[in-house]
Amino acid sequence: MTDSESNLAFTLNRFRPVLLTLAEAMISPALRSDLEASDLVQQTLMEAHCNAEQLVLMNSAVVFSWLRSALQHNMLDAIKHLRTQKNDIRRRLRTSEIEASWSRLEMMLVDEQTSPSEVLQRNEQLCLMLSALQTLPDNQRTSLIMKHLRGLSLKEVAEAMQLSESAAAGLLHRGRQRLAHCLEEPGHD
Amino acid sequence: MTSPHFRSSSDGADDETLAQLERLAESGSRSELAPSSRRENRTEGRTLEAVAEHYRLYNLIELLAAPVRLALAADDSPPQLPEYESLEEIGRGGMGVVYRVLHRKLQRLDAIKVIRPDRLADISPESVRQMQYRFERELRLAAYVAHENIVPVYHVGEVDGRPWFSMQFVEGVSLQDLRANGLLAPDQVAVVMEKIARAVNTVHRHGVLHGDIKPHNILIERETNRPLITDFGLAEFDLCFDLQADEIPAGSAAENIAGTPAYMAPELLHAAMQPAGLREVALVRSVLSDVYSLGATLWATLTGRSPMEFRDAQVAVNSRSGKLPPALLRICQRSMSENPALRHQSAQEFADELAQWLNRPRWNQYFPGLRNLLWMIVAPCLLISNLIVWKLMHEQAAEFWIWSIIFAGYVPLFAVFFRSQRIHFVSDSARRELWSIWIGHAIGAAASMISLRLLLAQDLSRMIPAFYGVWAAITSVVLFAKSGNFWTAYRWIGIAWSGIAVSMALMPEKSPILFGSAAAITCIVIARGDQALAADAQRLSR
Repeated sequence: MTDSESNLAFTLNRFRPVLLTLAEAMISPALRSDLEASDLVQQTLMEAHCNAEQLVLMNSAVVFSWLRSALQHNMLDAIKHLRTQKNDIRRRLRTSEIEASWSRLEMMLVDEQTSPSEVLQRNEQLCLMLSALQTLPDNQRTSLIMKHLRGLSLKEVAEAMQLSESAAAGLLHRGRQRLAHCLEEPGHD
Repeated sequence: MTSPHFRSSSDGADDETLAQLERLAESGSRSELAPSSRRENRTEGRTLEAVAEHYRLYNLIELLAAPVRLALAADDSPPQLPEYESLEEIGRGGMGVVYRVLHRKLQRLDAIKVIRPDRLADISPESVRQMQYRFERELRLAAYVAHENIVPVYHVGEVDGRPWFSMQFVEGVSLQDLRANGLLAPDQVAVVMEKIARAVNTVHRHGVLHGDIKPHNILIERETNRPLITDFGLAEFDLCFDLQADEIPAGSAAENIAGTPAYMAPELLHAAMQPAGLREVALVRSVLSDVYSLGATLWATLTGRSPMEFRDAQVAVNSRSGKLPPALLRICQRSMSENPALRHQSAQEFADELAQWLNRPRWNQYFPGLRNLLWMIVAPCLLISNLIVWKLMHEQAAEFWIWSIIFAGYVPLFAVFFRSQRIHFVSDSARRELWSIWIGHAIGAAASMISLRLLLAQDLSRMIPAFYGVWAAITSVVLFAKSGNFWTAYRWIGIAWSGIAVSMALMPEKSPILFGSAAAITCIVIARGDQALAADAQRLSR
């Protein structure tokens, strides 16, 4: 394996948990039974490996952008596929919702009104957090994604996870403690 | 993997307390910790520790996750407000989106401005709440002030965490748009800024500061050309956005700053750079900082440059703004003084100075037809008629002919003035003054002719030179008088004519030639000088 190829493998490996968290956050609870975030990410990374020749020439920010766009396509394709199977009108609505979410996410990540250095720094922090979320136990991660990435209230989180509100609050707090620990001491895990 | 530190604080609060803290964090009222949680915890110290820990972690993750959450959940569609029917988005600024809406009950077109939540993502929720509080307070105060140059605010509110307000829908363009499309004539700018300054003064008298005066916030109504100022209380939101977007570390390339900071008084800019920037700015804002922004807006609109350039290169301003009327430049310089004590002490004073400049006499620029006639017809006529007088004097011609030729010199002059009446945009007062002053000149000349004839009886060789001396003196007085309302250079021409009047006594036999040449030269100088002034006026009004 050449240097640039191993670099690419390292970059893809680094972005895997980030993409996973993004996919998990994007997929609404109603679709969770039909769509598997890890499958979508796996498919995306495989496509990246197939396009390695093209990707080795890019820096990590461009690779990340390529991966996001591939993940978006895969996710939308998967939802469309579900729709043809079940022909559910609500799914059609969700496709446009997810498309809008992706475009807003892209706008946020490539903010033209903010200076490039600032964008880079903020995206770096964001990636660190999204990737650290994957080191958390499943229930803590799910609760944090619902609470902080999907903006659900404690009550809604508790309902979705079929827990009492106090149990959900404990879960969230412990999840945050652990996440903060990962962020404050990177490499600990 | 949890560190001992985290475990201990987690033990400090049970799940029920955590749920309460979680709910408080969601509602945003962290300061009022429910008393029950105090009772349930063994010691107050541990409770406080747990609260602090929860607060820190919640905010840390919230702040990091906010951009993604807003991308996933944010909705740029107009907020659903029961009393309004949303029509279309009409503008999008750094901090807010403006929609044109229809008030359902009143069937009236309003504009609503909604703060974009994604712009608040990087700011701590605490600061956002403080900003919202101040925003609402100032808008409510501003809504009390009714002024024809202030966009009336109708309602203030918050929907889904997005502060919004509704105001009159103004059909027109902003001063910034006009500025971007090319320079405006100084007179137009001064009229707009005088009205805006008076409006700002009115709100100042009600104890409200605008805080964000800039060309972007001044609208010109299309039908009436009425300038209106808008966006009260938005200063902090805008500043917050601009500080993030523009990064203004001290000594940076300041001319790149386009938004609010460029129009901000130096003391505010200094405060904004402090660690607790926004709070500092709120404390330092004053009437004088608004006066600075008024001056910056005036300067930026007149010159098309960023006010930052003014601040950076004050010395070079004089040379670079060459064509800027000096009086306006002085107003800009005073209002944009680094030291607030040197600025106009109120928006009223700023407006008064502008009004003074606007009411200055400036008629000489509006006689375009006159200029060419003056040097093409009047000048040669005067030269020729006086040469004829000189010739007739030498040939000792009849007195009647000499006086006839002398007074014939007024004919082309009055013919030209008559011609100017057909030029519709010559102001009436200017025309009246022109006629009365030169008719006065002719009457004075006639009166001196009569008195000299009575005094010197038949001695034509002394009478004519004496008349020319008096005639030149009258001309000198007339030109001097004109310097007040017309072109200031008339003063110097008037002085020259006094000199000519005196020199005529030294060479009496040459006085007609002297007078004729001086009159012709005067006509040419006035025509040329006038032309240069008018060209300037035309260039600027384009």
